Amino acid sequence: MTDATLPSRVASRIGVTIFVIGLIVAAGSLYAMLFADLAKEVTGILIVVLSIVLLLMGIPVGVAMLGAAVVGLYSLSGARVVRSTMESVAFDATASWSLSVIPMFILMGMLLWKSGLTTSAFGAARVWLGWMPGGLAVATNFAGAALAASSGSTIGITYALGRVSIPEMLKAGYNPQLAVGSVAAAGTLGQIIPPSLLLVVYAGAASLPVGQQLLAGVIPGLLLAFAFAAMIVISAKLRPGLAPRVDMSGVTWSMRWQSLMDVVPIAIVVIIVIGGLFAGIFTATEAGVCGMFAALILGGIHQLRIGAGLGAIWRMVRDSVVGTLTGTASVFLLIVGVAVLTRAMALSQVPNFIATEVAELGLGRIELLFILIVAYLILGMFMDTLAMMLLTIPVLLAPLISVGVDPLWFGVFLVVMAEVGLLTPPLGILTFIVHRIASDPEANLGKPISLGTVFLGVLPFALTAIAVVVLLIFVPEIVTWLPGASTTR
Amino acid sequence: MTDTRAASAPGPRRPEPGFLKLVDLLSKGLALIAAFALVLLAINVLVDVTGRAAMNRPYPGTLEYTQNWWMPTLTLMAFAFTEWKQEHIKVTILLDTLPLMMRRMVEGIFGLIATALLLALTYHGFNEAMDAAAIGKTTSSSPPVAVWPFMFMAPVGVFALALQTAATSYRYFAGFLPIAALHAEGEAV
Repeated sequence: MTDATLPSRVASRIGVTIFVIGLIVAAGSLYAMLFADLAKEVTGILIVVLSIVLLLMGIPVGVAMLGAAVVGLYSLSGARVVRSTMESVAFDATASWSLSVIPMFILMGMLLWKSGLTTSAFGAARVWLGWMPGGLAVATNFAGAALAASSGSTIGITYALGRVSIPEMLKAGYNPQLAVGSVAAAGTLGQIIPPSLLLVVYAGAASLPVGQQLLAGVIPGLLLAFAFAAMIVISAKLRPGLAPRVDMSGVTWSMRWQSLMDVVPIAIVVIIVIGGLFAGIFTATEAGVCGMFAALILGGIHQLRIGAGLGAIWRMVRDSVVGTLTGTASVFLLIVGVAVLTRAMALSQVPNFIATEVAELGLGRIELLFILIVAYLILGMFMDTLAMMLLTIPVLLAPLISVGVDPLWFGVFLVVMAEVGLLTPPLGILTFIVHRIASDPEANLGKPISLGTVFLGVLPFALTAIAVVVLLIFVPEIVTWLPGASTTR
Repeated sequence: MTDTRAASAPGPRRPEPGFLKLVDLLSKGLALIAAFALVLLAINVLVDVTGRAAMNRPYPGTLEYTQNWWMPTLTLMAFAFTEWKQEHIKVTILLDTLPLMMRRMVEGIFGLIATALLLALTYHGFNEAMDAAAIGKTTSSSPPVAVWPFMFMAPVGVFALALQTAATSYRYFAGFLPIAALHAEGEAV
């Protein structure tokens, strides 16, 4: 036995043990729901437990929620309700005008990514912000914010930035932790600044107007970007070795203006989507469609400008459509599952039970939200972002409204916490992606970067994001002001 | 979103049975229909917006078509293709720690449980679609838009997903791992 195999064997034993415990819990929950005389609230809790166990067994999350909720519905209301739910749920959950913005936002982001338009964002941010302490990391951060405003794809943004900015920062002598941490943090902005897929899905699950929910993310997203930038600048000031100053003497004003020209296509898409929504010219779906066509035309022109032929444009469109179909289908399978879960939760009266308990415990809005920060940090460690959101919305929304939390505000809170979950171990998917990018010898300049370095690198950014969430709790108007001021349709 | 590549140890290089190829082909065929619906959705909304802005004449029925025709088609018809590409959202944190053989068995068995559930959903969805067809279900808008033909997208899409999930299970049991798991590209979220 070598040292290298020991941890994997231990992990394997722990995994098998947890798996067996999970099976026992699943069997016990099933038996109790089908054969025992349980209070409705207990059945509701068992539905959530069974959902979690099933999704840990590798069943697609949407199907896991569906399975647990169907058993729960049978236990709560009998076969007739199960039948009527299963008859209509697949069609009803997908037949939605408000959620039709999802494929359009995904397609828009994919077209911008596949056309290569997103790569110019870092170059522009670099020549404008590179002079600052930690300037390249700050540039990465604001390039992420700009891309977030034109694409709802966290992963797309991370790839677009990571491949360009990590080697540049390492070449300039930046600490690898700061280099990889700033890329991962920039990626998280993708789901907060609209167009954000997670905010749309939340709005659908919570029956809120999509346009207003998207606008609610604008100021918190920008605030988060500025908070990340401030954290980078302060760290670089306190520890100059972390991010040595970059020589910007070769950068002229004409280069700066030229770099802005390169990001004009992204700016056009941002103006169409966010400007159109804010001014009330478009509904969210219409903004998505117009932004997508703009991305298609501008992406095509960019491909022709760089000398790629029609074949390259065709591949760009084909790959974008394929990515859109799989991205959309994966989200909607989850929405089908959550539709049944929501019905089961309503029948179980678990949300009412929690609301009553919260009132009896004397918990106010602030105490409850602080408890939720801890709960979401724990959930984010082992659950997928969307699964975590959709599993908790049906349970928590009613109790939160009862203590005075604005549902639009909670959507932003939830998405920021979900994005923090993308950074935290052991399931921080964004950190794995950044690690994958940084594992390329061309990116790390031949010096391997460990996963531990990436996790340590994202830690200050995760803490900064939590600090912003705390600020949002005390000043909720940061979230609710813009939707209230807009004339969104 | 995670994939199953951790389980993708080199499997035996032997040709897959023909029925697996047929299931894969069905998934790809339905994805083509989904892609067509995606394009139609975009064009429909664009025509509506430009008509409204340029001539003050929005395209009538855009909301009804988008909601009842294009959205169910583009989402449900892509379910199976997404399973073929192994891009449905799965949590593999626990599975990743299991020994390879055990993981194959677990994924295979729970895949079959998912298949059974999806078949039940297909059956009930089909009954609903037949009922809708019998009464020629339309929207309540004016003019009404026929909904019933597109209600068959639910049983067809979910049935194809059930087949593809069963195919994935078979691949785990037989040592053929899902082909797409080897070249999954990640997702757009």
